[in-house]
Amino acid sequence: MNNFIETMKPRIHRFRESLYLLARNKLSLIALIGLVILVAVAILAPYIAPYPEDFTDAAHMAEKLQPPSAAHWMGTDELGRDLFSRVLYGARVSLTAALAAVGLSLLIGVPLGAIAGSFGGWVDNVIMRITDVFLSFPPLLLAIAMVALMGSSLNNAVLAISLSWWPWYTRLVRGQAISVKERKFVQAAETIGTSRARIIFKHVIPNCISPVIVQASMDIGGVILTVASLSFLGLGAQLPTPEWGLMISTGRRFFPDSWWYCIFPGLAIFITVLCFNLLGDAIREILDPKTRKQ
Amino acid sequence: MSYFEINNLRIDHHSFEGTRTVLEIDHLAIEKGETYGLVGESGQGKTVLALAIQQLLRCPPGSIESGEILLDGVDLLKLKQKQMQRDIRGGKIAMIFQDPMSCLNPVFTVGTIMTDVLRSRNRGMKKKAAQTRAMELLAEVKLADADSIMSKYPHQLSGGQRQRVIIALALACGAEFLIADEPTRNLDVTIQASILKLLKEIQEKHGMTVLFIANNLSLVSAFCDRVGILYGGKIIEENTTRALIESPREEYTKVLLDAVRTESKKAEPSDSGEVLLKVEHLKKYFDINDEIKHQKHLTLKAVDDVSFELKKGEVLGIVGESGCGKSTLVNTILNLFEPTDGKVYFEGEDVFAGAKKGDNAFKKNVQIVFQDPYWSLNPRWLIKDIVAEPLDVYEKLGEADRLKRVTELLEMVGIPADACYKYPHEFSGGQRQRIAIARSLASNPKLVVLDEPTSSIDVFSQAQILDLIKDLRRRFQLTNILISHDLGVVHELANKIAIMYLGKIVEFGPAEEIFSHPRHPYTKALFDSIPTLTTRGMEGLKTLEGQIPSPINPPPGCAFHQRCAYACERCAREMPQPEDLGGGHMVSCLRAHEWEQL
Repeated sequence: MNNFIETMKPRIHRFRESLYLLARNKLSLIALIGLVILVAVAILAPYIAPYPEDFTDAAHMAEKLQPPSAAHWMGTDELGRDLFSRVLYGARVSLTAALAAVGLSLLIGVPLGAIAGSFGGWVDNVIMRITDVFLSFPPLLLAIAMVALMGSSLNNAVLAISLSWWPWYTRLVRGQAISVKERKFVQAAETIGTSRARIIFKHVIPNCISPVIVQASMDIGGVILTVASLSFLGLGAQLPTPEWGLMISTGRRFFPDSWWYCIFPGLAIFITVLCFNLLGDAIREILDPKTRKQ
Repeated sequence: MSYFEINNLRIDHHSFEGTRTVLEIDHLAIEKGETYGLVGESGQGKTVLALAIQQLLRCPPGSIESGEILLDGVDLLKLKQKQMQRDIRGGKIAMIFQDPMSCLNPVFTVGTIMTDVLRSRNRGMKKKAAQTRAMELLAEVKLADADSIMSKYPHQLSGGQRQRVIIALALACGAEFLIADEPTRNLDVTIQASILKLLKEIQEKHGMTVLFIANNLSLVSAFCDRVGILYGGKIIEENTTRALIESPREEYTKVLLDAVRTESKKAEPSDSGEVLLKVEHLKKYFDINDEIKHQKHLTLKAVDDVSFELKKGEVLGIVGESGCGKSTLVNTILNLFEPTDGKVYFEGEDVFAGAKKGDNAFKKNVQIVFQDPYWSLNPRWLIKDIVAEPLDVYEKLGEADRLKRVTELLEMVGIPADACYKYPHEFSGGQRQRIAIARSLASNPKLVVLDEPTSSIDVFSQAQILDLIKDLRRRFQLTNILISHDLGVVHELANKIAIMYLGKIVEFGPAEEIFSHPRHPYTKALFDSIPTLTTRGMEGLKTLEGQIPSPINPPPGCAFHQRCAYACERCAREMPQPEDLGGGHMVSCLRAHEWEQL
């Protein structure tokens, strides 16, 4: 236990230093606060939403397509459900989908990239050619094709996105690994006699992870957008799930008269993606050893 | 008033740990035409000053709190960036950096870079005229064959040539004030001398004022009129060069001086025991396909037929210019590179045959300490895991035993036990090198390779690290191979020396004999080109002219004959064979017995 506390000390110090660097830039601070709120909303959605029953296919036809008011901050949809509650719950759907998709891509992409980069030679060639095949399809198109094959549901959409996303991480990590393996501590490990697998997982991967974290945090925004796009096309989340893309898709029919139906889910997507992008920039700044050193 | 003056300058640095004053200079004055040497180690604020003078300091995290920097009566700190750009930077002040590769844009040829600078400085200059001027400048910095240099890209030039191009660029701008920030740091000693000579010549010709930044007093002693010692952001001592070297006042200055005094140090003799390492006709060739020139199957002979023996308890110093193959030799011995031919025996066992069978014993017995302790420790590991890495491979210990052993190792190298739960970046260079040494001892090795163990740490720690190495050698009866270009370090540690040139050992023998009486002209030239505290003015500095020939196309006969002052026509034809001069002193020179009389 004592050891654990000792181990955590430098990490906490590092975390606090990161916060300090983050706070130095106003824009990244705003993004961070925005994301904290977003995550809180996603977790607490059932408790803070004014009309939790509206997450499902409840219907209050008397109140359908009401404009924003004190009772319904974002208005209501064609079944009279409170849009505000649904947008709040949508955060949970989008975030889990995006985290799952990015997480799965990392799980496939990072080890493959590290292996390709550290080994080189034919191993590298085989892995990278497979990667190239996946990269030669536009991600959205590949995802559409896979969902069409597997049937449309949110889970399948997530799976499809991961399968079209991992090659980017493989390429990124491979490039890093090639430079990391030239560093002296890897050579030191080789002279010590450390095994190949241990070198890859303990020396190489931890040292190429910084740009991956930056890329991943930016990608979460992109994946949220892709999930929304797939849902918009009817290939992702299915009714009555309160998914932002799906809500825009349904609201499209009522757009000329009920502008709020599309605008508010759209704004939610916009703000979330923006926050993740800004956060990515901020993390890049923090992880840059030049910033760190000073 | 002086030509260049700094008054009450204070520069702060803001970070998570708080605000720190990095530079505090009350008064610094340089007269016109003078050469002022600013000496201090890394982290003492030398580069911060160089950047601040040109308003290139990054703010934040830096901030200039107070003071003035006067050049010809103009306060540079009050000028706008635009004015600096137009009138000062490049126009009046030019800077030469440490690393000439990173300041030449790799996508342009030297000719393009030069004419661009010339034409941006002189509005309306015709391309033709700019080219002619560029050629003149290249000739002025003694680049033979300016024509072909103009059409080359920076990566095609050698380090010395690149630094000459940078000097030519400084001249192109017509600068009056030159800041040279460790201009020879990454160059070989032989090249270093010729660059210093060139700088001096150009300075005198153009009446330039030079601020020469260095980390080493012996460079300054030959080059500068006056010297200031920078420590902790303050100039703690200032005097004319002679006076400072002869009667230093501050403790720190004395340490700096001691670091470059080689005369007083001497390695301990070893009581020669049995042979530990035996290298027989070792060769390492690299196959190279030059795809641009469509030349296939070229062979680079990085290590070419090297043989030597190392007895238990000896320290072998391997010395040579960069590119001579010393690192490749060691890497091949350590079996990190597949050898092309030859054998290595460790305690009588064939190492390469053992490795093929998957025998790990050799790896356990041979460890290496790298040059740069910043990169040789994984920045994401805790110190306890770094030191325990060999333990994890060879003795699977329980957590408690492992920690106990790590603490013992750390204690041995003088690092307190609470370091276990810290990361490498929390330690200074010297401490990191101690940690690296602790790691190298964890598997109880018999042979430890030291690859430039002190060249990237400050002089205070250098002496301590050397003492530590000597102490550990005695305690554990270690045998060492030392790679270094710092003859002071070699002098202090090694009792055998191998001089390498172009993949071959040209001279090998007891350290004392080689230092007092080198028998190969190359050894002599190498020793002479290194400035020492007794070098007065540039005349005392001998230079070794010419480039190191390419190991892909080595010259016929003796590889050194093109640069050798004593070469005769026979040297161009015949390959010299190692000759035993008695007492284990081997030399490969056809004229070993006669050149000294010439």
